[in-house]
Parts: sequence; C-alpha cells; structure tokens
Amino acid sequence: MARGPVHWVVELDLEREREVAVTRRSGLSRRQLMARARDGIVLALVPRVALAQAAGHRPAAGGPGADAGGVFLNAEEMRSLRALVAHFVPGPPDDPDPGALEAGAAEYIDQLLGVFETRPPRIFAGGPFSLRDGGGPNAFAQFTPLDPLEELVWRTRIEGSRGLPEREWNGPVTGWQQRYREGLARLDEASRALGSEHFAELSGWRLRWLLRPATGELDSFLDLAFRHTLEGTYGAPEYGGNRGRVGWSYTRWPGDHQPAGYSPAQISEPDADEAEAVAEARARALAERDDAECVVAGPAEPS
Amino acid sequence: MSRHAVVIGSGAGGAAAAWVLATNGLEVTVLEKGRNFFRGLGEADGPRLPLFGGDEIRDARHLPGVDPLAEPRTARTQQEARAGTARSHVGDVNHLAHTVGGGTTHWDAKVPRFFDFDFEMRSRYGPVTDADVADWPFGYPDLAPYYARVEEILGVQGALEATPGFVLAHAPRGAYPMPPSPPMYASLVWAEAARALGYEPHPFPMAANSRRYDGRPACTSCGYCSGHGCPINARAGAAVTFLHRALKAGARLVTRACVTRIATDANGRATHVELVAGGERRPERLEADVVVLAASAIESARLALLSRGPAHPEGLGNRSDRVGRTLCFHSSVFAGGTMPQRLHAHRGRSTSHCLLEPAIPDTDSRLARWLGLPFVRGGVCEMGGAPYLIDEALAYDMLPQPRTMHKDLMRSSPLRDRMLALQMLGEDLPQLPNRVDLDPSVRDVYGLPVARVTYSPHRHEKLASWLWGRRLQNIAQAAGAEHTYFTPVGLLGADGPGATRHIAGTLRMGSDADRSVTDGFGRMHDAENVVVCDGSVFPTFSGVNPTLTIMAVALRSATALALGEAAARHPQPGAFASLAAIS
Repeated sequence: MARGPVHWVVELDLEREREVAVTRRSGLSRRQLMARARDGIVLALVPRVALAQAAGHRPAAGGPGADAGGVFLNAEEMRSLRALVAHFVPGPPDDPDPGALEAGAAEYIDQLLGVFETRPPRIFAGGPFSLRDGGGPNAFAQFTPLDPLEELVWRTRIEGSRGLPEREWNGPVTGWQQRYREGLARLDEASRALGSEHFAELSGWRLRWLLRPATGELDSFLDLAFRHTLEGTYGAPEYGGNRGRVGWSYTRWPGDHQPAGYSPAQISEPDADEAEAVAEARARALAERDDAECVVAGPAEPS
Repeated sequence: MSRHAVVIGSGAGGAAAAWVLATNGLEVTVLEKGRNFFRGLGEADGPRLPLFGGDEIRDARHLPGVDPLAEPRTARTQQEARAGTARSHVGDVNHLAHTVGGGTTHWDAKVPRFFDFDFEMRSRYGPVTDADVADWPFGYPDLAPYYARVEEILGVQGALEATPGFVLAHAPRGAYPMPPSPPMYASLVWAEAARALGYEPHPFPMAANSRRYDGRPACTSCGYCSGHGCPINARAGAAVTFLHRALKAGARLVTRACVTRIATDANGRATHVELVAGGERRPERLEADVVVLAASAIESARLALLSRGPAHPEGLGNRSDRVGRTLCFHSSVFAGGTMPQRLHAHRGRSTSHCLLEPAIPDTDSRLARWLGLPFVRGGVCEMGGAPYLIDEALAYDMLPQPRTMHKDLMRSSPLRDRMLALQMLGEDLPQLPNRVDLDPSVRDVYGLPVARVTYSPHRHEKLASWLWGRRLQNIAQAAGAEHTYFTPVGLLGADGPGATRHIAGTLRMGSDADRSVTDGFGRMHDAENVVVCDGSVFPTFSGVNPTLTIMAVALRSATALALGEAAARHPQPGAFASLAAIS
C-alpha cells in the first residue's frame, strides 16, 4: 500500500502500552500488571528513578562523551542538540525505554552535517544485506559512492549554495549546517530569555513553552531536527544512529530481514502472544456483523 | 543499415519497447536520466543482486527516487490557476523514480488488468460534464495477448480460481504464471470481514515470484516492498526483465543521460535528441531514425513542451494544445481502524489481497444522477498495508497530540502494527484544465524549466470517495476495528494531486488529431517517428494499478513500430522473437 498522510485522531489505551514496557523490565506478568495498571496505580507508584534503573540506561545528563564536540558541531552545540533529541524522543528517567539520546540521534545528525568528511560520504548505504547479526559481511556498511551530480546536490543541501553559481540553479540555498548552527544558537538565546544560561539546562514548563508549536522561525528548524531525530533513532544503525538498535526494541520493529525473510506462519498468522487481543477483536467483529446489513451482494454491472 | 531507435526512459514502457525493438532488428539506445543500482543487467550471469536494501533512510534520501532539490516540480489547483497564482507548492509532486527501471524499482508490483469497459467509457456511459472522457482506439481483446505476454515475462502470481466472476467477465484471462505467496495476516483480517459482508476479496495479482522463476528467487516477504528497491530481484520490474533482455539482444543503455530536447526538421519529423550526459552534464546529441518517448506522463509531456521546432512552435506534437492536458492521478482514499491485536503488516508484500467491486461503475446511484454524473466509480482497494517505522513516527507528529506522547504511540503502534488499513485508488476523470506545463521560473539542476502541475479532482472523485469510503469503513468495523475512519477526497487537505504515484493522460491516444496527441500505436499525429510508450497515452485511467497496462500498450506500439501495424493487430507468438525460455 502506498503511504499517505493521516488525518484522523486516535484515542488510545496508552496505559496498557506503558504497562507492557514496564512489564518487560519488572518481570511481572503482563496479566498481573494489567490488572493493577488498568486502575492507573502502577505507574503512579513506580518512581521514575526506579524506571530508569530498570531500563538500565544512563540518564540524560552527564555520562561519557556527553561533553565532547562532534564531527561538525562544537561541544556546546552538541550539548544543546543532545538535549533537544532527548526532548523529542525521551528516555530514562522520563520514559522506561531508551530514547533518542541513548540511540545516538545527536551523533547521527552531527555525522550527517559532516558527511563529506568521510569517503565515500555516508549518504546511501550499500546493499543488498546487512547481515549485522552475523553470517557474512555487512553490505549496508559499504556505502555507495555518490556520482558527481549527487555530490553537487548533497553538498548544496548540507553546505548550502555559498554563492557558487553551480549550486544556485534555483537561487540561493541555506544548507543544513547553517540551519543547525543558527537553530541551536536560537534555542540558547530563547533559553536565556526564560532565565536559563543554556538550552540544555531548561526543563519543565519552560522547555515545553520554548518548544511549543508555532514559534515562528524556530519551527522549520525544529521540524528538520525532529525528522532527523527520528532517522537517528529508528533508522538503520549503519548510518550512525539507533545504537544497540534501541529504536527497534520498544517498537517491536524487526528492521531489514533479508535474506531470511519470514515463514508462512509468521506472515499469515497472528503472533502467539496476541491470542487474547485476537479473541477480543473476534468478539467485536461478530457483534458488528450481526448488526451490519450485507448491502453489497455484488457490484452493479455496467450497462 | 538498421534503424536507430532512441528510447527515452528505462522504466515500464521504455524497457518493454526496447526489448521488442532490439529483438526485431533495430539498433537501440536507451537513455536514462538517473543512475543504475542494479548489477549484471544484460550480462550472461545477470541480473545479480542489486545495491538496494531494506532501509528507510535511503528512501528518505530519495533513493531510488527523484531528489526534489535537484528536480523539483511545482503545483497549484485549478482555482489558483484561474486566480493567476503561478504555483502554491515547490518540491515533490508524485515523483516516480528517475533511475534505471524507473518507477518499477520502487513499485508495489500489483498488476491487475484493466476491464473491457475501461477502453470504451465514453461510448458505454456517455459524456460527463466538466470532464473529457474518451474511448481508447482499441479494446480489451486487442490488448489481451499483450497482457498475457507481459505477465509471463514479469512473472505474475495470482489465483484464477479465487478471482470473482465479475472480474473474469470483464477481464477474461487464463491461468497466472505462478500461485500466490503466503497471504498476509492483515490482509486476511480484511478479507474475512469483507466476505462476511458479501464482497469477494481475492489474492492481488503481483509481479513477485512465489517460486524461483526466470532465474530469480522466490520472494521472502521481507516487508521492505513498496517504496524500496527489491534486494533479491524477487519482485520483478522493468530492469530485471525487459531491459535485461533488451541489453542481451544488443541494446545499449546510457545512464545519467538527460534529454533536453527532441529536435525536429521542417516536416516535423524527429532527427536527433539533445542531451546532457554524465554527472558532469556534458552537452551531446544523438541521431535517431525513431524516438520512443517513455519518460512517464509528467516528464514526457514536459519534454514535448521543451522540444519546440520549426513545425512544432508550441512544443512537439502540440498543434492541438493537448500536450500536457487531461493529466490524471488516481484518487486516493484511506480507510480502516485500529485493531486490538498486532497485525505485523511489515511481514509481507505491502498487501496481499484486493477488492475490485469499487472499480465497477455504478449507474444506479441517485447521488450521482443528482450531481449530473452518468456513473460513479471508485477503484481497486489494496487491503492490509502499513507504513514503515519512520513514516509511522512522522504520522503521529501530524496528529493534534503533543510530541510528548511520541513514545507511548510508538509502543502502542495504532498507525502501524495495530492499524487495519486499506487504500482505494479511484478513477480520476480526465479534465482539460488538469495539466502539465512549464513552470515560468523554477528550474531543475540541468537548468531547464520544471513541470508545473495544475490539478483539482472532479466532483465524481469526491462523490466516489464518500460513497465507497463509508462502505470500506463498514468493513473495518466488521473486522472488529475501533476508531474506524475514511479519508474523503477534496475535504481534508488541499485540492491538489492525490497521494498516489499513478499518473497518466498527458499525450493521449485518439483518432482525432484535434483532440488527441498520439494515434492508436502511440505515434504522434504530427511527428510519426516519435512513438510514446508510457502512461501518457491513456485516454482514461481505469480504477486499477496502471503499470501492467503501460507495459502491454508499449509492447503493442513497439510491435507496430518494428513489424508493422498488421503484426501488431494480430500478434503471433513468433512476433516476439527470441524470448528466452522462462523456467
């Protein structure tokens, strides 16, 4: 099916999902936990610190490498960027599962901004198989060299047109490097207006206020950074993000699955741990069908 | 000396045409604007495994695809055009891949045939106000042998015994080359509910191997299907089938060759093409006895408009001011809901079942009559797909919920793993104001004016989306889904192009040179050695996936070019010379 925009609002049984995440860490059975957490008790009682410990990941601030500069961004900018990605996709202690910080999304973005520091630039992973669990060389890690036209276009996108005529086929282009440099500086500036020396020190309502939607020129930078944060959290690890494949854990996403593929049972049948939910769907379906009129017995034939 | 055919575009139509021409004595050069990510095409031990891989970041970086920074398009609605707005959007507008294999490198490979009535909508149902519905110059029986040959060469899986009678009545056919692969669970959930309500869902014909076929392996249902290049060549496309064979028969493939103009003489005949070659974009020219134009509906029209000549002052073949007009997309309706259980639609081939009842014109609809429409018709429903992971994350960002809910949504996965979804691709009636022209100021990386799309849906599509959207939502409810929905056309979002990559209709076939651009064999009325072999030639756009028909029509037109009209009208098995035995 082709992809397209979504336009509808979904209400969710979010508590249930939170439980599942907690269950995986706490060792309680899902059923036990559901019984309690349905009442909203468990999450209220489990201290956030305990959640963080259970998740086994370092907290957002500090830790090795947290103060280091990157390939393109300096140490201060990296600090702001780490805080930003952690806000977009939170990890411990705000959330039981690792988030964008733990996935290395900030480092992914920094490497993208400095992508032409390496040869070939890590723009297009190779193929066909990653085999990252063993069994052969990882072809994804053998990045496909860019041809001259692709290099021109990607340098224009990342470095900007810099007044070079060959990069201005449609006029000047502001590169991603400049957008990040200015965007991160603007975050710091706005933080100072809110009484904080540095964006990374902002928290609570001040942080939410600063990153609220529709804040003018910050918006397009935040959209870009959000999109890149998702890539660095949920994309293939060969690009430098999704470390330890943390983005593929709580999402139950398998990633690339060649050449093994899936068995007929894996393709055609529900997973064994979904039996309860399948029964729930079944009951609801039968009730609906009892009520539904079978209005279509066959299509109208063209005359 | 043999005739030299220059084929512009290596996608569905260009590759099919190149194969016919190369195996019937023409000297063939295929010019492709993009790069080649396949390996071993045309070689004795080819095709080998390509450079594709299941990887969403590659897709986000426009591989295989068109980079909208390098080659943007612009768009506006009919209303904006009337108000004098030059454009309201710059960037990605229904980009089919500019790469070897064209759109079939990232297609979903669903290949239903058109119905018999699709070829005679005007004479069967009469005119439609504010639309330009026309008959095709040939009918289903003329195309049937070409359909069969394309299905054989691609390797199509399907189940004749499960195909509903109404489908076979209007698209009679023989057995499929292969049985279906294992059905997807998400598609089965849809299918069971649809059957309970009296519909006849069935395995979707698909150009993917369910067993080893033509030297290519069986599909493993890895899940990175629509939108991605197939890493194991199990999903067929123009490159690993027609183009590979054409190259083996002696055709030459030139990549990074962007044609900038088809040059014509005082009599209007094409003499050569001008191009820029290589990543360095060197200007070159290539003499041609015949030019096959197969760059896809938007790009072929754009190139025709860029190709002014002494006998074509308004663009190649544009005496009638029809070049670029009646651009059709398929309208797109999403319907579905959220299931309690996970549906793991990431294991499979995008979707495995289709519903074709909505593709049959309904002449009894009172609403349609009230709106002055002789019929109303949706289109094929692809049952049971889901987005990839990053797309899912982006989808939540479009909801009114704050970003702080992101992790909870990703764990619960209501818009991916628990999403029961289908997409209906509906017929889009041809309208003269829906068109491609040259943008007055936006340029591509080659320095050429880009295609500007002016488009608004007809009220027919809006009505069809409401009528069928509601029914499809009922099926989702009967499957046990909660929070069911459908997305009607022209209500939510802009009035712009539909969210499909199906495009057609800008260089339409017809017998009347004042109302069409090409004849029944794809030849331009005003330049008979320019043969159009892509979806541009479609007079109307059915309500099902177009690529099989693009290939079949290209095969027919190329047969006429290589062997004459009589051979094309009555194709003999021997007319397709040197088809290697397919095992």
